[in-house]
Amino acid sequence: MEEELRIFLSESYETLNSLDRELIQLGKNPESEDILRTIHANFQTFLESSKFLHFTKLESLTHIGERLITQLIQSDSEVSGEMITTILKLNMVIREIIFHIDEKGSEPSEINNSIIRDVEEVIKKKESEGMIGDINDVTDIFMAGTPTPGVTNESDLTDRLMNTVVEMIHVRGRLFNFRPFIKSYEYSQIIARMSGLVNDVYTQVRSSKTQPVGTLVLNLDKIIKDTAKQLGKSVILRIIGKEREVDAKLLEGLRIALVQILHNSVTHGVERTDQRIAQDKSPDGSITIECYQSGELFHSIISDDGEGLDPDKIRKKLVEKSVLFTEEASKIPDDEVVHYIFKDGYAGLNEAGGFIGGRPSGLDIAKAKIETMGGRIFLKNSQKGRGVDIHLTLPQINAIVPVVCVNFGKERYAIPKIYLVEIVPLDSESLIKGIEVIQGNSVFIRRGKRYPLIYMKQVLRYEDPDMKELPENPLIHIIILENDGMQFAMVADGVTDMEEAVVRSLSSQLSGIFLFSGATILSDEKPSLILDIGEIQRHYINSKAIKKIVNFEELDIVETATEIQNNIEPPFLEEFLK
Amino acid sequence: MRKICTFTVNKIRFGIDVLKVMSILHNIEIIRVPLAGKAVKGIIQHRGHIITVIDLRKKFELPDWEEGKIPLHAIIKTKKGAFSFLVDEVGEIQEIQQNTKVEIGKNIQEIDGFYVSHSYKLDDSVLLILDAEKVVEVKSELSV
Repeated sequence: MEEELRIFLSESYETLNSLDRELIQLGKNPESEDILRTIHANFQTFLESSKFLHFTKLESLTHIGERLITQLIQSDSEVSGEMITTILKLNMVIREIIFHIDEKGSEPSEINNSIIRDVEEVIKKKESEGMIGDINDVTDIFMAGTPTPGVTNESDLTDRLMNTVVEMIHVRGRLFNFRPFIKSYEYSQIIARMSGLVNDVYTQVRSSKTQPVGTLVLNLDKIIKDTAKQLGKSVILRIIGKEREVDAKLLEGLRIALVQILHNSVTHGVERTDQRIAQDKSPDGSITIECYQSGELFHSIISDDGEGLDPDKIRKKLVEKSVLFTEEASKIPDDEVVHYIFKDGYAGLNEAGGFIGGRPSGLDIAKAKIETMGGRIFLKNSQKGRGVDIHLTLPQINAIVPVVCVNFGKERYAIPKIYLVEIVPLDSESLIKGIEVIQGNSVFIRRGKRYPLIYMKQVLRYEDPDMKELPENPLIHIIILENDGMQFAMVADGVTDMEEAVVRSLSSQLSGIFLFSGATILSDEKPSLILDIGEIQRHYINSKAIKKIVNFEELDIVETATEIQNNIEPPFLEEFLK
Repeated sequence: MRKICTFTVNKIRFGIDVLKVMSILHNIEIIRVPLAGKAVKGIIQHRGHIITVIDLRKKFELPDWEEGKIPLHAIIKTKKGAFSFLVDEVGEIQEIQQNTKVEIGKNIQEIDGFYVSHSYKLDDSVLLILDAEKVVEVKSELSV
């Protein structure tokens, strides 16, 4: 408890300071919705942590604050000075309570109730003016998908610093390009020194913008224990990689998504203690969150050892929720229907356990949250009786990642080097020899190994404006990649240099496109999209049939038929051979 | 008094508050983004930032750019960060008296009134003020 309290207090002081800052900003820009949203998020943080620790007075105060701000956001007009004073007063009372908790370890027995009455009056007045609709609407919007306040807001000093440092890194890259032309020992030393300094500044600014995932642990552990207890279950949460750093702005969104996933695992995944004993499992269920970083992405895998997903149950629920018709649902194979747990509307609101703290919950919300942050979430594994693994990724904004630049037609894309195994240049003649089409699936054969092949131009919907001018015998590059223990290949037209790229996020219009995990600016100052290799692999070559082909196993006929239907056929092959 | 930057898209005149216009650029290489929405022309680099380019003609469902016509990038500050709006031409800065503001009905002839926040009455015409936030709004598209 003491540890929890300590973390709560340090977080609270931070939130209070942030509230003060934002309120001052609000005084200067009374029409800014961004600031209101940040304040709203601050109140929410308070509300949730005080709920966990059963500080009822603090809870009611922050709840009222949250309602007030919600109204202000909805009313869409300037915030009056009077209103700001009211919020400041509220802030003061909260601060007093926090001080009291810090000193005595508990809430004060008496608090100044007049401020609560004042605020309630203001809220009622506004309500009667008809300025707001249903308060829950706004809360829902916050839950479901508006970007975390401030994700793209660059007013923050460290944000501006970061952007300057990123530009410095670009300029450094261009300086490096000149090194071979200037043959001076002294010059190269100066460049090296300069480069070191840029790195120092970068490391420091970046560390101030990231936070270890471990800071989330306290809340998560509590949520799991509480939910499990209510359901007569016992669950142990383990976290691997607590020290892994995430962009501080994504932390709150990550927390919301994790809460949904864990809640789902505890309610639907892990069995009751008596059931577990009957099945010869250890009496305590276990949930593991494993965090790691690779290339441009931060990964989190949430695994439970519960009962796993039952495809028939999922079909039934999809039909019940009118997501699919009975006939449609029955046509989807078992290993595909399980992915529908993330489908919008799958976790209905009327379902028992569909609410956390009065808010709608479910994996679809986790998915929406992760995707607005430019991340991805998917089912990695589900085995009946053995549990479920859910994998989520988030872009590591501003991380420096080595990439290779690959050309598909006249377009250039960046692939993080970590996925790269080998680049094989081929003329079109050896290409014909190297490619085999096995029951509709193209594979590239090299040294007796089969690599499933992706025709990237087709994936990227590439249309060459002047196709006819292709050279007669073009040199093709086969890029062999590895992700998640599987090797596969891409057909590319060329490969240019390796570069150190700074990962930038994409705007909300583009962050949902599964092909890309972000963008970067290359040393020629042109932007380039970073290919999300994991997602491309999952979309194009993750089927059972392809795995069998790679392992030289026989395919059965049913599989072959559906495979041919689903697989992208390779008309582009002909284009290469023309 | 407000200062409004004016520009035209397919001969329709619009305005945006000068404070929201970060810069006007031309002749920048646009990198196509596969699978993006039809109004998204691609991305550009501007001062170390990746900026999404929105084709206003596509967005407003107006006829496409004429062959050989090179549109201008108006870099606009929004709550979601900076965006580039592709426009035909950038006109003069118009000084506006607050009291000439007129609420606009949603039945503007040329384009969907959804994208216009309000308008100002000038001597001989009405200046439509573009609602940049609405232009960059993403309709929720959740899918498996």
